[in-house]
Amino acid sequence: MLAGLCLLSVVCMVLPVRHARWPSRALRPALAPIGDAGMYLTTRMRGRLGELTGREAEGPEVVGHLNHALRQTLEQQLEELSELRRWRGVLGDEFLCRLVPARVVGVEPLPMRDRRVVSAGADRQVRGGDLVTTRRVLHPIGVALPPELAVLGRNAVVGRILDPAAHTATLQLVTDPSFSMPGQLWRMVGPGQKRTVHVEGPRGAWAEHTDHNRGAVARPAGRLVGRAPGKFRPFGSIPVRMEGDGRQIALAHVPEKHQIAPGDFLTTDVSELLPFGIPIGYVERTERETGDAHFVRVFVKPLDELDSLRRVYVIQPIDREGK
Amino acid sequence: MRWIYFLLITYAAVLIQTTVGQVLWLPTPAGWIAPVFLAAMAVFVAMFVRSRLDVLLAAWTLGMATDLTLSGPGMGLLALLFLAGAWGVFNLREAFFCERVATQVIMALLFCLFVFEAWAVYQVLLGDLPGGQFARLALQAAGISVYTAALTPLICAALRRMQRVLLSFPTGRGRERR
Repeated sequence: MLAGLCLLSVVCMVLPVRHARWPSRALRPALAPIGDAGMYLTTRMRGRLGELTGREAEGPEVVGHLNHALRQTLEQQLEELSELRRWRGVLGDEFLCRLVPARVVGVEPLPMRDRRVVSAGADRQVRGGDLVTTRRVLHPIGVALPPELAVLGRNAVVGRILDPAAHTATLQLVTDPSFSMPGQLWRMVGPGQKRTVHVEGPRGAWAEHTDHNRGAVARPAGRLVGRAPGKFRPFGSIPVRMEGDGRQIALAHVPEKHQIAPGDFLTTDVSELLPFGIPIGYVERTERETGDAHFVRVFVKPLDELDSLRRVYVIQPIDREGK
Repeated sequence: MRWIYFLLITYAAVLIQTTVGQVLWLPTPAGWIAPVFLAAMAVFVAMFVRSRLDVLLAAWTLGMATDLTLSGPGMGLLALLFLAGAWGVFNLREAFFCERVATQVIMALLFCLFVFEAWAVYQVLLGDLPGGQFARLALQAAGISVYTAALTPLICAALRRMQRVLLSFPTGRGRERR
């Protein structure tokens, strides 16, 4: 009997993943319903722990700052709304994609891979490679929102779908060691900042280009808290290849001449489905590569707290529905 | 071994591992580390079950249960590694006092280091985990092993309370039934 089980293990190991993983996919419905409640508890506990350790402090000063930030964000969002109207004109009357809501219902037991199980699978036309986002809304926790309020949030990509089963799918987070995807790195100029970078000209020649963002700097109560208020201006993007390294996102072999600085933004690449990049994270630090001083390694921090993910949205082409 | 109860406890352990177990995850410079409850259970079984066949079957089941909750290639490997690790612990246990906390920690550390380092090497060889990050992954596997070993005495103590339900013939020194 033992020999038979060992033989079964070896057969599973040599079979292609698609065939070998069917017992794994078959087992998920037995775990997902209870896992959903478990993940609710986990994310609540992690959130509470974060508040206690000061990661998500909600003191009166912070609430005051948030109110101030909200006013500025509202103005900023009005500008973004006009930008979105312009994009709608580009896209035509119909949107090309839709967001399929899902919840994180499980984690993998070995954290050497950064993956989750989400409650949307082939039954909702979810397929491998679909991007997964969350929505971020700036809102003080003590203020109740009226029901059915239309909230203008911001999407942030947290990963992509891998191995969809009947009712669930594996979500590979952007920090997973085997995650790799093309992206765009945007150099940003903050309000009141001046920045000079090298920009490639039409004939391939590099020229210095300076941008001075004269936008107002947000200083609530005479000091700068955080960097959310104020309008950051993009200063041209460069194509990069992002890879997870288990803790954050790493961009290898980025030419030093691009002068990447902390605060620059990483977005997804432009595709037919999404003709604009969705934010993924911001540059935390850069390191000169040991082999070649002309290149730097850029470390990007994801916008969302990936260890307490709960509600996510799978981006899928609208024409997939019913197929 | 009372297999129905064993399978129920395994199912509960898998549920805890894949949901609320995330509360115990710790961030380190090498990446997240987490205790693997099923590995601690395998160490308990290898130390306290009398029959060698029962130990190996239970270890294979626990390894396969862990494998089933993972994604990517190499399914079945953990089942074999759990089986081999449990066989090693089973052979070593006669030389130690199994009830001692230090013994449980050392046995769990050896078991986990063997299982998780071998798993990481295999995944790197398959190309599912990047070879360039091997040093970090090996360090992360060592961190997971230490964390699991540190919690194993607690898990052993909890399972000892359920011993009558779980085991038909609890073990003692020199009472092995082949």
